[in-house]
Amino acid sequence: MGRDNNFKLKMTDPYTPYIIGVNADANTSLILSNTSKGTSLYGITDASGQALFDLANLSSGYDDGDTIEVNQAYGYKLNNGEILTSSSIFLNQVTVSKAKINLTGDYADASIELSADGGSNWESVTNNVENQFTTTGQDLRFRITSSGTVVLTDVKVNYN
Amino acid sequence: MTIQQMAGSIQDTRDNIGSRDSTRNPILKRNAELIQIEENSTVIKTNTIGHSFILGHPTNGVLGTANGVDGEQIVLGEAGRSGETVVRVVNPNNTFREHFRDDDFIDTGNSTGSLNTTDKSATTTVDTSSWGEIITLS
Repeated sequence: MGRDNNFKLKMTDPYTPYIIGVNADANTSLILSNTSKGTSLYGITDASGQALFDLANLSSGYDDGDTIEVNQAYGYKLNNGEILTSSSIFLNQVTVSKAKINLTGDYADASIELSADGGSNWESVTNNVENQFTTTGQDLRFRITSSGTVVLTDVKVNYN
Repeated sequence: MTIQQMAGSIQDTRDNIGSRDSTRNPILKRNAELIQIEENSTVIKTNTIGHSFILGHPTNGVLGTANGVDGEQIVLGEAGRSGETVVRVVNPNNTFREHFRDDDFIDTGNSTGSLNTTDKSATTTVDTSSWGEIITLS
């Protein structure tokens, strides 16, 4: 299965809890979407290549006739305690005074930090909320620390 | 009228006899296509020249003496270079995007998670026997 070769399921019994299992390569990022409702779940296969999706976790749930679609996605997985640190994402002899980060994926257990001075000072931020830097600088970076399982498929950072 | 002119006249007449030329100019159908291109980050890096030989260089072009910019004997090939250093990173519309298709902007020395850059050639099968009640596949 690839990004262009997904599979779709037509749900017929909205009252039965569904667990969907997917076999793929190990550490493959997956997106399960209820395309009828526009909601998604994110997952990643384990070392044996298996991933489970509990449709009860879909915020929209699903109704009779909804289409469930699973796609492979590029992504980054963090287990409990693991860290994703970026290198310089903006470095141009221009002082960064504010920035806003927007994560896509399953990031409920993610602690998000931004640094405007190359990682010397990190400031905790909230996803999709603009942060006015206490310590400004000219080297913008982000850091994600996981307290559970985090799967990121996209990160967008907008700055001044 | 010369012989050549007479022959040309006869040829003109012959060209206008017979059925109409069926030759048609090909009509090329052009489909309008919209191609979305996302501009990503631009990175500028520098490197030192070390004691690599550079033809015509006032220092690194002189052979036989240890006079490279790093004080070493000039040699052919890349030698004594410090490695690339990022000096500029700029993004379109002041917006950085990370799609995790590569680790170009991941500080791998300070990151401990797992990057999945598996492309679409990867194979996956849906396990329909162990979990769930999958009704149809399309």
